[in-house]
Amino acid sequence: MKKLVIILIIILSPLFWRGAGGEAFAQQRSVSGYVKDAKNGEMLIGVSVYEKGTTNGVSTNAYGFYSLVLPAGKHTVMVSYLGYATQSMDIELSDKGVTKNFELSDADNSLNEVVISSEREDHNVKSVEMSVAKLDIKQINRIPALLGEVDIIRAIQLLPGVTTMGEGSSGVNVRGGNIDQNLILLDEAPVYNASHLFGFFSIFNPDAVKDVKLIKGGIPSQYGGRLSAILDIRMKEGNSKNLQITGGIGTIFSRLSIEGPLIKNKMSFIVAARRSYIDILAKPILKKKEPQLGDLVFYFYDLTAKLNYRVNEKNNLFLSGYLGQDKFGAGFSFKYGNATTSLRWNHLFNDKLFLNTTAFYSNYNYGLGFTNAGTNQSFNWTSNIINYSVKPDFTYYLNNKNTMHFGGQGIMLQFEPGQAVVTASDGSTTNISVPNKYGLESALYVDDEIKINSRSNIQFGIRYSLFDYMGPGNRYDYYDTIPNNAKRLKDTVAYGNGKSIAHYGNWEPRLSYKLDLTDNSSFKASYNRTAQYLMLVSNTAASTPLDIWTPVTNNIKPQIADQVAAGYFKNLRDNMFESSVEVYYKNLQNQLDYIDNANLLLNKYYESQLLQGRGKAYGAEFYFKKTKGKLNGWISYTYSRTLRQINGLSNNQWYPSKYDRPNNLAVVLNYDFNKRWNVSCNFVYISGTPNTFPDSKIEIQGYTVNYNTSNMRNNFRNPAYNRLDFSATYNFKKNEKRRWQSSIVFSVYNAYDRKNAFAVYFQATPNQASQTQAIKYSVVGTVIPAITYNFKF
Amino acid sequence: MKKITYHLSLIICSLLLLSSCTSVIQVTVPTGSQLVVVDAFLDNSSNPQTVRLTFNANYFSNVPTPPVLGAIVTLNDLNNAKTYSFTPDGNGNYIYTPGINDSMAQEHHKYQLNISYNGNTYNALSTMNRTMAVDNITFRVSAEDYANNYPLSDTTNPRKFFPYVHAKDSAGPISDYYWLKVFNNGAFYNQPAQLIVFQDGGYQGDNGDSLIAPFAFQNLTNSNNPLYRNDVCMVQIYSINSNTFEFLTQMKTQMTNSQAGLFAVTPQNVKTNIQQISGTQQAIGWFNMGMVSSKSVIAY
Repeated sequence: MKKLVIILIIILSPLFWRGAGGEAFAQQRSVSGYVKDAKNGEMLIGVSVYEKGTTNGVSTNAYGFYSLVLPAGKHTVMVSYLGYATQSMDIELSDKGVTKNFELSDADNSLNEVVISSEREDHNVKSVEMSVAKLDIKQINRIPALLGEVDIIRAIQLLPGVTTMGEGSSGVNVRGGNIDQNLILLDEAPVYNASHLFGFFSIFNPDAVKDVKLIKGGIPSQYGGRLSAILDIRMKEGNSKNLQITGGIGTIFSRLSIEGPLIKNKMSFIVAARRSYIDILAKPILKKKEPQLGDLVFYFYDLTAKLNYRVNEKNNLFLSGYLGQDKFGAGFSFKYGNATTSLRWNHLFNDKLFLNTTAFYSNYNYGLGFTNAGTNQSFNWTSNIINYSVKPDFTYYLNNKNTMHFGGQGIMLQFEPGQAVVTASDGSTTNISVPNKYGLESALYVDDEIKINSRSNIQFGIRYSLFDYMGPGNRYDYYDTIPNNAKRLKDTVAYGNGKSIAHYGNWEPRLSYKLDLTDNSSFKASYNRTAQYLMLVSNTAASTPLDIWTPVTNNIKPQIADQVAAGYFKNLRDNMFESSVEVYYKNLQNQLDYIDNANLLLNKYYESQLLQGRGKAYGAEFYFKKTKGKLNGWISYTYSRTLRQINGLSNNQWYPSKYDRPNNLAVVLNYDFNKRWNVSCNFVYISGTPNTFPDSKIEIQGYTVNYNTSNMRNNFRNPAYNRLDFSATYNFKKNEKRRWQSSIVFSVYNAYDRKNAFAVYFQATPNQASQTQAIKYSVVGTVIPAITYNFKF
Repeated sequence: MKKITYHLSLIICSLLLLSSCTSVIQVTVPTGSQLVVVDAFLDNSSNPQTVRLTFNANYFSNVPTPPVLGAIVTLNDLNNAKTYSFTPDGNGNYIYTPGINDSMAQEHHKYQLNISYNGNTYNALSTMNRTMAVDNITFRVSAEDYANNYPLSDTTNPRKFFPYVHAKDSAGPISDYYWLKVFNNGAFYNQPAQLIVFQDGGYQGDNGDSLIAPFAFQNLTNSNNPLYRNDVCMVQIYSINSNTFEFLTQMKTQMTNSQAGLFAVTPQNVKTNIQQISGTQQAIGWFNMGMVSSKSVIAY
């Protein structure tokens, strides 16, 4: 019954939208078009286009498109964007809509005839969006970086509500969620592992990235499939005016990107590549220190490319691709990497209806193997997750008070968790592969953003998501057992190609509301439900690239999260300062955990080792940012908890999840001395990760083994994490006649040599079996200085 | 598998300018509740059979685990209804000594261990599985010694010997599980990394070395603990069942976790097969009946 009512509301909702518009529809005209960067022709995302002196306005979408609906007559339209000079233009709307494209120039080298204003730099306050963090690449470039390499994921870690398990762990934890609960999109194609070198760097080449947006709450209905957050990364289209080469030479790797027009203002491209060379530098030293490592291989590379073609005023095509791989070896080989391709087609049906259709392919692979020297013995394991998807997304600009999004998505998923072959010394092989799994994830959604009056906006939507776990494959049925024991296999049922083994569907309502309190402050609230059908299976201290992705099955239920959030946003001193306070509470269902001593690796019965239960997460996030002036930067502080209750674990009581870190403080400061020199520093303090400490030792057969008699999981915390980094950038004097620009960045990571704990382990003191000790494992155990040289021409 | 992840971690740490990766830290954890820990790995030999009962001790106290005194320990052979009583030695050991050329245990019999202590009673079950014979033990000299070619008479640079075991897995469709133990001059070599349990001589053996019968085990001892000339090396192959195999694997994982670096799992409790029949004091630990085969060879 409930479902029927919701369906009815969706069907009838267009009637409400027209009603909400208020004005007679026939008299509405629109001005629409694209907004670009005057310097390089890049489409600009999130630019405010509005009627002067009113609150009628829209923002450009992810493709730089806007459509502003106004009554017939004369208007002054303003176009403004942070860091760019605001433009204004008088237009007359008679009986037809007008197409108007804008090109914005940088604020600091703007021309006289353009009005400079900071009037609309208050997007954070005025927009209905909340729990959203945006970082522009200029800002990211200034944060002191590990080994001098600017990194998007590492920059995001300095924002409220975001933590990681430390250096050496892949991914980020957002508002108490696991790393697999974030949907990472690179030009709309999902990326399953965004890390190079186990998380020291991310796979996104900053020279090829245009826009980064992290959505932690109030998630619009067009996004789905993950519980916690959406990280939407958009690549540059490539300079459509001039050929440009950008690059950098760093301590650990070098970058080079080339972009430029193929057909001026119609077709442009960008190709960006990175390759590490630390292996070449470290090999001699390492070989001496660790001779057993033998022939050493370790490097990573990535290649990012994009082509865009403006077919005509109504059609644009974008083709983007990413290919990257990490390789390690020393008598064994280990590799992992992603490949993604996405093709997008923007089509303008008319000045009010915009369609983007994305088709993508994504493949995450990893493999492990070794050969015993001098024998035939070997072991080879490869694993893949392959996705194919189509996703049409419509935006309908009904009138100046009402914008609607609707669309759908279908993703074919193929999991190849382990193709593994063991070769014995006599040459015989044993196949210990884990069978493939197949799934189809699909969704339909609609949402509508309505301006209720001059002070308040509402955005509401619904998403219906479906998942089919399909054959060919086996359904495994297990006996019930005492929780925290492996379940015994009862029955195996084989399913043919395309037959549904398990099927799940979920309604996901989404709602956001904004109310302006004063000219420069607002209150916002949101609710969203999200469902997740794929998850990462991992019982190591932090996630590694070896972890296995699994779809929901007959034994694993979809994870569901309900989040409510509320926030107060205020800007001060003409938007020089931005501040916000947000609180959230999440109720989580079917969270995954593992029985004690779970055996997950290459185990086709891994479902027998899993447990699911309740979770909750709550927190308060404080953010204060100075956006302008010689001294700028931000302070972010989060207090948050994330807890689990799973029958069979921790005496059935609530326990902290492994990414529960109550206090999280980040301070980022930049200071511009002059045009040549600027310096930056950042400081982070995060509570230690929870850990299960043994309170006892027991003796079995002369071995001393750790034991926790309380049986409580995560009963203690590892030492807190804190770190200070510095950097200084010197910009070489620019020769006005030449385009060559260059800078040199000096950086110091972990300035006071803190040995932060990645994990704490317990073991018998070597050669003294009866004595025991706690071992702190620090991945970074020293100060790391670095120099990077960047250039552009 | 472990070896790979360890080496991977090493490489990754080395990437960051060879910074050192581990340090010992001081941790204060209050002592937990008192448990009875049962350590009962019995065999079919005519040697004295010991069930050791201890209490747990604070993990960081560095005091030995205290013995459990005043318990009554018996073993029932459920196939022939025989009962064996174990005598306390006053130090937590409860011992049954079979007569010469006698044994309390027989292949395929099912056994029940009974313990009563301070108003609590516990029991545990185990079936005696077959074992395989140790064919031979050979030795290899370390690569360094081989290169340096020190004379046998050189006492300042004695040659280091590393044992290899040769054996053949018993035929048949059933899975056999074994624990391979090394003794140097009678002392059990209890390095956690060299706790070797394996299934059918299969790939789950030591450190991923793929071994199909007939096989040879390498890495029985590590390079810090070599044997020297005239040392007596004894190797035992002790049969275990699949649950004991899992238990010992869990023990090894917990004890060698710090070597796994980035791939380490969170500390967890090992399982137990001791059942509480009455009383309130919890007992943990393990009971296994196994057949044992062994061979001693002098390193030369």
